[in-house]
Amino acid sequence: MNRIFIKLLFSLIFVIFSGSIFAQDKNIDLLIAADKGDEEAVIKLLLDSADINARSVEDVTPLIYAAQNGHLNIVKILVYNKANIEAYSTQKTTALMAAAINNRTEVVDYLIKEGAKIQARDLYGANALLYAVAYNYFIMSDMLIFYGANPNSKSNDSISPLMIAAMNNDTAICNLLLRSGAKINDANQYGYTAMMYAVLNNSKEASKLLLDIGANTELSNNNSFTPLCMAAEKGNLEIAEMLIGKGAAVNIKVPNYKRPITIAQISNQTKLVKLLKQKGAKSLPFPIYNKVSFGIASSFNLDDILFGGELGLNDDKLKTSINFDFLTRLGYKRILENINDTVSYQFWEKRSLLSLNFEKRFNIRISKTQPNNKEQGILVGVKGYYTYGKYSGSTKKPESILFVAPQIGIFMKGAFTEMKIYYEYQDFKSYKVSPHRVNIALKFDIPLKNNMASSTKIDWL
Amino acid sequence: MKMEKMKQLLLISILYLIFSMLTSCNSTYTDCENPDYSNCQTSVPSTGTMEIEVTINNENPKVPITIYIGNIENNQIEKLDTLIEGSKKIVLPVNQTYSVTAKYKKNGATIFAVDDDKIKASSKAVCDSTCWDVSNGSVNLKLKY
Repeated sequence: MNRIFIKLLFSLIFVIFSGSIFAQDKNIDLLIAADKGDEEAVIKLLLDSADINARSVEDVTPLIYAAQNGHLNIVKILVYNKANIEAYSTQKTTALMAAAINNRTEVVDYLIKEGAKIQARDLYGANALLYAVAYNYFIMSDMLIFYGANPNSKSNDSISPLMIAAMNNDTAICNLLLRSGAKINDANQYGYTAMMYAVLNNSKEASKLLLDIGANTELSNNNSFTPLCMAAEKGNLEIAEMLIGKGAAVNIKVPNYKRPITIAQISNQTKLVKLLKQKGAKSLPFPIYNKVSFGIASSFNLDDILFGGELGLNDDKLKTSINFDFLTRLGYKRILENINDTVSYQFWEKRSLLSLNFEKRFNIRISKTQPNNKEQGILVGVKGYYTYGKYSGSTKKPESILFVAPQIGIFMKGAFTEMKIYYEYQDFKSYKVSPHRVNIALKFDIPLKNNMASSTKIDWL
Repeated sequence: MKMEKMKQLLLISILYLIFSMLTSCNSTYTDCENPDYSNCQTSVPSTGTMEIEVTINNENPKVPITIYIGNIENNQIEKLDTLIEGSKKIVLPVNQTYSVTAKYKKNGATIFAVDDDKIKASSKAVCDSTCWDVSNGSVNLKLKY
């Protein structure tokens, strides 16, 4: 009796499990058929009781797959059979969004007519219109607006369709959005307007359109940067001319960097500097020390070698820097000190140098495509030295002296690093040590004031 | 944003470098169950050696040297000697800095070569014993000029 009961129990468990496995297979087949557009298979699987709202690992439903790939008939079959039209994936992408992202106008049209929510937002807060605009789908954008999509809706990072269209330099979509009620001077949480996005991305046509329609040139972002400041930073010459032509203030004061011309100078935008000067921009002849630098340094010639470090302040406006150096001989060097004509002492000398230096850099652009945060050229400067030392075995010390050393050399600078190699006449009166030296410094630069315009990269695209 | 990330990266690199330097391994493990005292000097050393290098040449076949305690200006002479070879080790009391001069003749003039070093005794505990070690000194009084 017991044996029969156990057999029955095992059979029942097998039936339940195998049924579940087969059902699972059917659901997967349905997802695959919807994705590939196999209508016959979809119908067959639905008749065979496959789950119409089956989910993939990422929670994508057959309807989302069919919509994304533009399989209109399958979309219709699924909707007719009561598939959940608002079902969304793990990214919260609905069938409507998936269709909009892939420019499936007919599917979008059908889904909206069947009641799909046009303002549904995904994990990033982006809706179908934001995606359509982001991918430059004019007809799709037009259709979504026609069906009532809000042209002023914003993603979680506070980006509006007009900002994206301006960024993409898509004047047709810009026009469409503006005609449909998009607010031209609307700013996001960082204070950026569509005009600013157009400027930052050098979108000339979009900038012209926005300016012609009346975009405000005096609005500033949270860092107090106006569109002209942004054009100055990015070196967008034509847009800067347009902005000035529309009355943008060339001498507007921005905290830390003072004026658009200063921003252009710091960003190595020489053409912009020229333009701004022509347009009456005032530039005060004072440096702005906007970076702190630190690194290792060495001073050497065939007779001697000193190692140490350098700490400084860099001015990217007038290309100057002030540096404090400490250099020391790692070991001792034999020197001869004459006491009188007949007696001399040969000592082992330890020597250290402290210096304060002022440098001026002259940039040389190697190519037109060179990024503006990379510089190279010639440097000239002057160093005020104080040198001191000691002799081993004696209380006598080498003479501590102050002296001035001129320097000339070359430099290379990146956004965060710099290297300089220069000649220096460094006469600290050490016995038989040549005053002609080569100095090398390798340094890191850290910006002190980080209020330049931010990147305009959109995370959800 | 990019700038912030770079700053963070730089800071992390510096901290990692400092951390690595502070924690880099230096094995000092001693097996105290079977201690090896073969290299252990248990008595406190009183002397060490000072190696003195000089230049012997035609003009200076014998080089007189003077060993001072501390600097030469203290004038506390510990030992006088004359070297006839380029190098010599002289035994001196430990825990003292010595300055040594070598007197040379060159073209009728006198050159005193000066150098100093310390002879130091140090101890370390090895299991239940104290082992002593002497770090000997050396001075280079060779004539360069």
